[in-house]
Amino acid sequence: MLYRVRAWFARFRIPSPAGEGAYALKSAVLSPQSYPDAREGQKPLLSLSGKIHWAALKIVVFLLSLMPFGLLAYGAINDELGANPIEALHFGFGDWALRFLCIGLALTPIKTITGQGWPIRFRRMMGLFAFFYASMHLLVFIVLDLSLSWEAFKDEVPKSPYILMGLLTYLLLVPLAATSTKKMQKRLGRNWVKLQRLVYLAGLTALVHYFWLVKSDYTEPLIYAAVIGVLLAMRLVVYCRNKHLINNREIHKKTV
Amino acid sequence: MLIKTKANILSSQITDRAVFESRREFIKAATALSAGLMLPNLGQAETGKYADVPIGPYSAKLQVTDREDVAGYTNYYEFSSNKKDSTVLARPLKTKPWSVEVAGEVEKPGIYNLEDILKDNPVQERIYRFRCVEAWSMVVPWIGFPLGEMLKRFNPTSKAKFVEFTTIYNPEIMVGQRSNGLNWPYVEGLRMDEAMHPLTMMVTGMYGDELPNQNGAPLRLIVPWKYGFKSIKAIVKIRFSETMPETAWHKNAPNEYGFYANVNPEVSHPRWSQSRERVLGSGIFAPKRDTEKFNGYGAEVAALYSDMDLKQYF
Repeated sequence: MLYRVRAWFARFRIPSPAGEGAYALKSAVLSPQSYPDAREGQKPLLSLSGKIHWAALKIVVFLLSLMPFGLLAYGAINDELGANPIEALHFGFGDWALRFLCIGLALTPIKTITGQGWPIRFRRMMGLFAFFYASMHLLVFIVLDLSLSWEAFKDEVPKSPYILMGLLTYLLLVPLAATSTKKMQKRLGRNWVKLQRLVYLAGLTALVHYFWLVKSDYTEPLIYAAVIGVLLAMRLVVYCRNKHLINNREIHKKTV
Repeated sequence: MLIKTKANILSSQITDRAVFESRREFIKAATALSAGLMLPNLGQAETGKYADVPIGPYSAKLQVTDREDVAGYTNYYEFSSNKKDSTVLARPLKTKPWSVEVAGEVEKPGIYNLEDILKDNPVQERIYRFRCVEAWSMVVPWIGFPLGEMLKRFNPTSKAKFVEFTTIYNPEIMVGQRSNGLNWPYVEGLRMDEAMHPLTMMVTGMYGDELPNQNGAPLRLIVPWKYGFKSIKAIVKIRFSETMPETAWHKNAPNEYGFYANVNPEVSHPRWSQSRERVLGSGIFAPKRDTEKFNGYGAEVAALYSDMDLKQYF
């Protein structure tokens, strides 16, 4: 079943530029060359040289990801955000932070299901956009909602469990963004992967932040909870299966 | 038969004439300005059904929020929890004809046509502050009449200690009632002295015209010293009772929404501060306003609660 799904998706493969082998699919099982129906009679969907259209694609995705910011900023400047523009900006940025977090968390499961590794290359960008929108969300709160007033901060923040949970979520995202460069990735080695797993926790605290602020209609946070729940559960399944395989291999070794 | 009482006090007896006129001038000036700038029109107040109603007592001398903001930002969970969506979703609600059932501890129970109620209760305009429990506020020129005047005509009995109001239940049209975010229909209530207080209004219009559906047409309550959720919309039933009614938000979260729900900066909501409020239309860089106890109506209503611990009876 998974084989068929992956074979179907293989036709959408985008050729990798040389030198980015780290991201290319290493496993022979997952390599598109092993799927006859993808190989025969079909060129890869995009046939320009890899490097050029990777750059182009990254720019397109970058600009698309910036669009919600552009629209909200345009709305704020032209007073088109309705009766409560600060709330519209605040909630708008918060929503997009959560959406980019979901997109970022979806890329690895997409690879697992489709066998397509290339979306993983956008994971850093998606994560950084989640951080960007979370930063804007916090900035609107501090600058516009609290008007940079320490008095207001002291009064309003400790009284509000959901604001505290939001701040915690942001604090979890800061080290992830700070270590997002390739340089930091190399320097931290295996620890980098461990550190970046904080994003799972941030996904959960972001959900709690959302649930705690709602008055009675939980529809929207429930949708996000379902999405994030599925994305995290898939990792758990893969983790358990791998562990199982390793255990089996070890048992096999022992018996042989 | 309803008993006629003498006409309501005219605004000229209460509000200084110069102040009254300067408000109209302000609206006209704002209209001219907004027309020039292609901004939302403030001047609709001058052309609607209630364009020339007298200004009532207790009307505050405050800058009124844009009508567009008041009509485009409503908490009407019967339609949606989204404040903008209810503007469109509420359109199909038929508000004519409309009748109100009067029941309970009262000598004249029955079903009254809204038209008849309005014949006996001449309307007036009052500019009130409106403070939502979500810490935002606005200033609205409501059109209506004192609730107490209307209730007296039904002759409540001595057993009537509370008044309970019920919103129309119509899940075919009120799509929000199909899910159980709150217990439908929406119920609110007041203690008898609160209901009879001259500040408490039954409202049928705003900005010189009839209420838009999303603002609670055709008949809603306005209790300006309480959080907005007390001011129940689209009322179809008024019941006098001896016991305190179970109200919708209180039932939903009793630790968060009390029966009294008086605006009080000293008593926080369990999940957020109530010390400040965002004034709608005040601009993106304007700081929040400090919330006043009883929403600024303390001089009129504080005596109602003089022997009560407001932290306990929030």
